[in-house]
Amino acid sequence: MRPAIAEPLSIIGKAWNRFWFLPSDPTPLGLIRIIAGAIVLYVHLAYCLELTEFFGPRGWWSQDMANRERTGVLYPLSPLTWDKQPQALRLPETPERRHALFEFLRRLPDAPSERIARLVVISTIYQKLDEITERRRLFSEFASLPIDQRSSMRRELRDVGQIIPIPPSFFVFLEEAEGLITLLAPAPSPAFDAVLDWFQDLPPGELVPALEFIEKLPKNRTERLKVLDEYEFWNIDPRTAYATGKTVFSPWFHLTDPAAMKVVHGLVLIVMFLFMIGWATRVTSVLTWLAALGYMHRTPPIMYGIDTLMAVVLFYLMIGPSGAALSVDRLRARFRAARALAKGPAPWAEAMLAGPRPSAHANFTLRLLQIHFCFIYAASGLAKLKGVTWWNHTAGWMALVNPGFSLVYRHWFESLVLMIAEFRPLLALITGGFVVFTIALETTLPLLIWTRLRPLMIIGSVCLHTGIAILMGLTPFGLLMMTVLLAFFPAAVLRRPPTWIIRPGESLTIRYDPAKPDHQRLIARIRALDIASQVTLQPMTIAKVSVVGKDDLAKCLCRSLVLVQAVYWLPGMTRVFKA
Amino acid sequence: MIGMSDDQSLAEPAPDLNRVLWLGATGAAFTAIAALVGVMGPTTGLDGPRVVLTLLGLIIAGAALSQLPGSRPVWGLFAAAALLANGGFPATWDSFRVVAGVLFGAALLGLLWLTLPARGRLVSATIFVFFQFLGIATAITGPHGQPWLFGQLWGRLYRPYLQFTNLDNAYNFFCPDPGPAFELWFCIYYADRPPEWVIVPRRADSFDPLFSSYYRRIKIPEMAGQGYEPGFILQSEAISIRSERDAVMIPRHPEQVANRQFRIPNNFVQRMLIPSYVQHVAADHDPAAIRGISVYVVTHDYTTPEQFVAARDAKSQTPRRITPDDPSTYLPFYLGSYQADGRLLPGPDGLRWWMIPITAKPGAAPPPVYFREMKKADYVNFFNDFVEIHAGSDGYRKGP
Amino acid sequence: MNIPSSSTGLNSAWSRFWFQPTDPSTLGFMRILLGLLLLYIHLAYCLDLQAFFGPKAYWGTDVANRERKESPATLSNWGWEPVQPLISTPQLPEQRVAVFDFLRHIPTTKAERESKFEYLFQTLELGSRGLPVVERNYQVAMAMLFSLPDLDDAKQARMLAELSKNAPTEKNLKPSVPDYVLTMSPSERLKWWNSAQTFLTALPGNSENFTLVIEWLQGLRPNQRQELAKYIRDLPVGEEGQRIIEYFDTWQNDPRQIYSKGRPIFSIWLHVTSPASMWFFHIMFLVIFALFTLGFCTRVTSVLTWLAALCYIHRMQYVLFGMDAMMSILLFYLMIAPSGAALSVDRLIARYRATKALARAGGKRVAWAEAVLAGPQPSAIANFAVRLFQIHFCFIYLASGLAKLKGSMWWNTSAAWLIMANPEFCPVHYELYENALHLLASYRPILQLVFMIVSYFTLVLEISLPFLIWTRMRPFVFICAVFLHTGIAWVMGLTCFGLLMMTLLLCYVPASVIRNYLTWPPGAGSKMTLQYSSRSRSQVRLASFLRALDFSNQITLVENPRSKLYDPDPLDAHAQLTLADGKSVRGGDAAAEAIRNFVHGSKFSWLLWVPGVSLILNAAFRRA
Repeated sequence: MRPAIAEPLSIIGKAWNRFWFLPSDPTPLGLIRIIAGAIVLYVHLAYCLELTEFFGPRGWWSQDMANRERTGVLYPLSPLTWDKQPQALRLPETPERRHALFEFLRRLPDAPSERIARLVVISTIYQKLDEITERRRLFSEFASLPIDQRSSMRRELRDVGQIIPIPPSFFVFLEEAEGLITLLAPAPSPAFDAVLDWFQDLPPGELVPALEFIEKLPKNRTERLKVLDEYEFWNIDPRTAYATGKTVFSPWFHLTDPAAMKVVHGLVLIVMFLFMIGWATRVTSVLTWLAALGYMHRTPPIMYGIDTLMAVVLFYLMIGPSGAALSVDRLRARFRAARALAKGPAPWAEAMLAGPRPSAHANFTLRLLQIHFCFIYAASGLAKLKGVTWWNHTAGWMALVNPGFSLVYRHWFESLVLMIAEFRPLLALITGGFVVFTIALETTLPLLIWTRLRPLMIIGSVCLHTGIAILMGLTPFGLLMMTVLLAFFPAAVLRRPPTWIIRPGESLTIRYDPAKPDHQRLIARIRALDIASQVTLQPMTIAKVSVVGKDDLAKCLCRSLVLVQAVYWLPGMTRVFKA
Repeated sequence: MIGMSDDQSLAEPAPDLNRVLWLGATGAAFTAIAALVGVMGPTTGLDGPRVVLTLLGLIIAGAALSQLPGSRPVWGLFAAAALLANGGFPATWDSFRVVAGVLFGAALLGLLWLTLPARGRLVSATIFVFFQFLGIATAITGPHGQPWLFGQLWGRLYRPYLQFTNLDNAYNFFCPDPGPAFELWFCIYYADRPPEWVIVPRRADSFDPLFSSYYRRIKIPEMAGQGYEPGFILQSEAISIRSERDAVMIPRHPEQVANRQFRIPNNFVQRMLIPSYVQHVAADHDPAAIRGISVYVVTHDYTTPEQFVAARDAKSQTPRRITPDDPSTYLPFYLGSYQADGRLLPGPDGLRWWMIPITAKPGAAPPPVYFREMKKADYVNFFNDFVEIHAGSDGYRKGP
Repeated sequence: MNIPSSSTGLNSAWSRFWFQPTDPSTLGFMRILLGLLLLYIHLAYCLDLQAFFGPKAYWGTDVANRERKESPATLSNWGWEPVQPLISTPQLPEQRVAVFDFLRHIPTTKAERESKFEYLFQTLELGSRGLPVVERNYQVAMAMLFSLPDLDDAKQARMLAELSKNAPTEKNLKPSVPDYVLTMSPSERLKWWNSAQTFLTALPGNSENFTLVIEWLQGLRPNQRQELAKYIRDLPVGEEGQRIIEYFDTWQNDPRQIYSKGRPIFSIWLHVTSPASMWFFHIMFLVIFALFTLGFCTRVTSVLTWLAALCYIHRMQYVLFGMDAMMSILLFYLMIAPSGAALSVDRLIARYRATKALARAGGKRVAWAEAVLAGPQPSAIANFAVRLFQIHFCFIYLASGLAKLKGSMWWNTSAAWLIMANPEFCPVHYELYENALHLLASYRPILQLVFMIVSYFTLVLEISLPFLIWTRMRPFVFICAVFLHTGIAWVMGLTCFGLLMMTLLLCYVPASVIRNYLTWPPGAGSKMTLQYSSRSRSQVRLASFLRALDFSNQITLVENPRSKLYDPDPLDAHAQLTLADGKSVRGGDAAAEAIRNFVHGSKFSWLLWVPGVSLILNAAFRRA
């Protein structure tokens, strides 16, 4: 007999499969593709005038810097054990001082033992707290003498030593000093002091690691210089980094010629347009995704919410069958089906004309979108609770009067806010309401969107994004978020567009002669475009295809076919229906 | 997930295999040619054509794949094309080798997918779901105390994936607290003419109806404004910085607390961002004539409701209404002076990284107007703008 | 409470949610558990009754009373004007004494104040702007006071001479004076000098306090200087003024500013202090708790229990923790709820009465009695109370879940470690536990995984339960919550808290479940018949007694046909119980026998061996 656990497990498994893989209508994907495509197109059209400014070789984020970061950025990572990751040295912050320090490090000799030998004097100087200043003064004065004077001075002192007793340690000190001085910038100078300061400022615990670091620097000079250069630039010891460079790509990392940039941008726009109307979607979806990523990867400093969201939506539209409904691909498929039917019975063609095939793939993609949407909401809702301003509702005020974003830069809005703020409880009520609504919605939607409350949640979310779009001005972002919301709509609702968008067309009867190939082609075209199946066909021997009770076939079709009537004014639209 | 658990009986008859294979082969061939040129052709001059050829090859192979996603040979051809594309892209286009690599990986996965039975496909799809959203979870917890385990997953497994797909975002919109807006003020000094101000962002710069271009510009100063260390500096360094600061005649900000008046930009901002911005600004304003560029990153602080409604307060006997765009709401931090190529100007600079006050003159009661609309006369009468003094530009900076 | 059943839509959903009558058994069960916990917790107090509640307790009676009566509550006003900042009083005790001594001796008449404090007022007002130069002047003016007492006459004369010049030279002025004095006319200057002298008399005599007070004045923040001047100026004269200062000294708050005084709390322990009487009340309370647990006169005892428990809680404000909070929640709602309507002695009594009424009726139907015997009646108020419990529980979870997100410890899961290795709470002092921790810690990723599971399980559950508990997920999240509290009880050692939380959690368990698992479904057990005569009071009493205890209707009552004819019945004066196996017994033995044969009887039949019980039964049921 099966173990008791198997029963619930199998139930869960079934539920899981139903949730992810139950074949469903791809229409929502199609609709999302169209709207998101339009937004993506808009965002990239906006780039046209700023192509060089943002993506050019000397743009805000210059190509050299971008490439340097892409290839050189260092990622440290703690080990899998409890021991601390290699202690990063505490370096001076001011570029001048840091440079001085690294210049000193660059001058170090190759042999580690010698390096340490040269640094002995450091410990002599910083040995006794009370004598540090004294010894440093002595050291720098000694260092500020030219080399020959130094040696002569030492000689003289030795002679004097015969007469007055001078502690031998003093001679040792001078000996040691000689070793360090040659590594330092000529004293007296800021660079000279910078190094001594650094040694002095190192907390007791860190002097030893510092010396170890110096000792462990590569023996090979070129290698050592490389390490030091990277360290100085990235402020991380390259040898402690787990990974180097970003896994990003973009044509804009490489293109420099303005003309070429314009061409590429133009091509990208075309691809995005094709993706929007759903032509060869399998290919254009991938291309659109890659193209959009290209822009994002090139200039992170100018990317904001909309780009994040575009990356998400395009990724899933690329995975999913986003061209399977409401697309040119679909029309072409219908046309093929109609042609096939004209040749003889074909069940697949019937199915094709009946409507887009439900597919597990589509359902899977929609679910991914839904879950990701929940993640977005939960994340931004819960993270808000980390800040105190969302608890005490001042966040509402901040959003209201942030001159960078909100409408407050318009005077009418300012005076409105002023009017409200005059009566404190009212303002408190409004900002409080705004804050509570936002947090409540963002934290609960991921849970309640799966219950009977889904419509309520969708309405709330629409309100939120409309509000943000109006108050914060982040319109494309808001629109895209609402577009993703479509993933939560049942396909049936989306397939039945409200009559104020598309007038229900009257039904037509068309006579044609199945024998004539040109008739067949025309009929196929008509059936492809007749998505609301308004047309009933009457095969008979007849000279030319004609609508019962109408004289001009093309005109009548243009006016009455649901799909066409919106765009019948397009040039050459009537020619579609010419044999 | 091609044909997973939905019936194939009603599928449209597949196109002719040979035609598709030919198409795929053409694609692969294109990339192969590009790769060959890379190996034996002349090293220079042909980069452009090679890129075009490789991209074309990939697209064609992809098109073939999209027509017959159910057949292994087609996937094989695509994989070949992707593999060859690695060589096809020249060294100057190295970032596209990443793409080629990704496509190749995808192709291998596709082949694996075809070998799986229906159940195996379900399982692998499930695995993908977990992989995907565990990754998203690591990204989400990034900014506020990431669990060690997520940190490791991110570093060792997810970084390349999420970076490539650009899904490495924590969705912290206005989190944890809504921050202020930032601005960058550049003062350009010329050899031959008076200095000139460049300010980003300005609403005037935005030309598209949905302000998309404006919000991009808002982001430009943001990283510079937010990217600063909590600011431990070595003791003697701190001492010298303070003493240098006090040597300068410009006072500290009377209303801001002391420890908010000094900020050390983080390494990225210091060494990469600002230099890059500077060279861009220089490039726009004939670099040859430029002597130097002073950079200020400006926090545009909030007005508190009390200030906004000018509530009577024990501190100020004569309260004045402070609009959200009042000059005194701008808190500029001086980031140093640079050469046209983005390198720091040599020489000591006592005010670097310090806040420079813009305050209403004591006793003065300026009208509640917006900085950008203020008349120069009023501005001069009512406000002490030490940025002007420090920048040494008499040219009145129009309200941003 | 009857509901408009016909109403539709949101309204009806609302009233269905709150007022649809339900079986109170859940509440009854919660009452029993809570009662037991109450008894335990308060029995534990027996040992430190004095330490916590006595007059010389940690938190003494007198200080507690004072706090109860006086503690200030401030509140910001409706407008944007900030509540005027109070003048900051020094932290150093001796300085505080000095300062308040100084304040207490403020002259009583306004005029005197103006004259004596002129110097102070002037300096304070001039020093109230935050500009550097102003600040220096202020400090100079205050510092000058230090040197005034030990100015000998010669110095005095020199100073006066210098001051009376038209343009005094700064270096000749010892002590040095603020800048604005130099710009005055000589006459003003002398006036100013004299005002300083007069102010000196207002300052404390002994140099110790003198210094402390001036140091305090120097330390005042600019925005408070104005305030201090104001404060001294319009401090009411006489008794009231003293009272204000007194209050200020104790509570660092101006009684004229605070919104309200004292706290709305009560406790018998604030008044009863003698050990004997304390013991008396303590035992009384324990008895009340016991009765409440049994559900005897629950309507009364529930209220008494609530008040009694509050007495303990209010008295030891500062020794409370989560446990007590949960306790007051449970008590409050159980007091509202008909918590005695099921699984209670009250219920048994009701059954007894019902049967009696039926028997008396002699065959006629008695609706209410039948209803009572059918089982505890569903009531709207029961549902209402249960809903209150449920909603309140959601609030508890949501609050503690969301508040955790404020720190970063729960985000980066290091919170888990602080919980697992807290020497005060968790059993880390046990060898076994500590070794287990060591084992986990030996490979970092494992321990980190544990952290993650612990903290994210807690977070996710606490945040999502309030929403999922209303869906099909209820059983699942219920179990998770039980896990959570068991975990807390074990790891954190907060057993009582955990048990209370679980008791609270029971409010989500449907009454039917409780009945199925805790009571005996009708029809169980062997059938018996009791033949009795409705005329004999003793027999009726026996019948009702047995019926009251007969939860699963094993006994069928049969009216003795002969009792119509004869009264009293000469032949058999006893009710007769016939068992399933045809054996029949009479009178007191019948009672005992019946109890033995009840399905639940087996659990209680040992009672019959307790000496006297059977005697009582006999005595009760033999004769009329």
